[in-house]
Amino acid sequence: MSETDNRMASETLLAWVVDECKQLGLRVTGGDDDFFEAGGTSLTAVKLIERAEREFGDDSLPADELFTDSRITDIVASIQRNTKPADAVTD
Amino acid sequence: MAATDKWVMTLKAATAEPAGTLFCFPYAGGSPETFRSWSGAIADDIELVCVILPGRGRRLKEARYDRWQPLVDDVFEALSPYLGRRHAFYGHSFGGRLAYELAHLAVAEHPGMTRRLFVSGCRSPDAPQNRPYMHEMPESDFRAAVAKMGGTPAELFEEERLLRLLLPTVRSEIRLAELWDHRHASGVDVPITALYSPDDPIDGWESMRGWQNFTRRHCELIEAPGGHFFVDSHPEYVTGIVNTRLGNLNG
Repeated sequence: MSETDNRMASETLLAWVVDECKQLGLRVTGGDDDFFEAGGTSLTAVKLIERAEREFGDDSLPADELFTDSRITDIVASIQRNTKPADAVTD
Repeated sequence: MAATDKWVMTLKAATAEPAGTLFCFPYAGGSPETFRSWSGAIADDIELVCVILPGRGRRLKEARYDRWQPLVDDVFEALSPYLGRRHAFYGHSFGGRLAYELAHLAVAEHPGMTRRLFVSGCRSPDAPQNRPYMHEMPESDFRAAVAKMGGTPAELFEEERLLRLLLPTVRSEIRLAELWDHRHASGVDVPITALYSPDDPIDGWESMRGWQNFTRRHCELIEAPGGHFFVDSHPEYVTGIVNTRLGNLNG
């Protein structure tokens, strides 16, 4: 992927994560928000993981990564890191 | 309360002066979720803060405590910058034990600032601990016992990956709670409000009425609806009591 493609993929993914979190009832507005400070719980964490896996494949968002690096930008990075190429986010 | 302090999470700021802080200590394996539901009902002049121990949320991978003294010392050191102002402690079950231990240190270091200790679903230090010990059970029995206690959403039990991440913290805090025993020479110089549910199979009236022997001030024993986890199931009831008692926080 070109650098432009990478940036667009990151932005798309960030928007996806923010939107999913909002749907789960979190007070998230952007990448600097923290999942748990925004109202995230163990249960909503599970739901976010399920949605990520449905969208990006198995193990695309490992639970322990979500818990320890829980800022939205960290979650985006985790999904990018763990998504296998065939399921990768493209624009 | 510094946003970067890993030990505390401010759930609600005080919007009226003079302000006091209520520090909340969750049950074994618990997290700020319980007290977040209190935010809307807590009085304006109370800052609501949850204490966060290693083993959950962002602190998931940090080493947990297996002895009381280092735990109490470290939590006290973390809270010390905030205890010079009027405050109170609320602890449920395992959190109640921790809150009591901290109250002893707080009174010694910051006399007159700890206005009240709330303990709920928590036996008094001299009450016998229920047996058999949950913390010694094999995994399947332990999970069944945790499920039976009722505080964990059923859906969580379907998530093996999450259970493997979160249950060790539940077990280590239950262990501390079960092994906790009375170690102080005298009661704490703070009034105590002890809340119990008659439908709590773990620590009801019988195991909580002894709290009056552990304060040099007034102790009240109040009945609450719900089972062991009434802090979760009846937040309006609990916050109502907290607000009236803390109405004198700054008096």
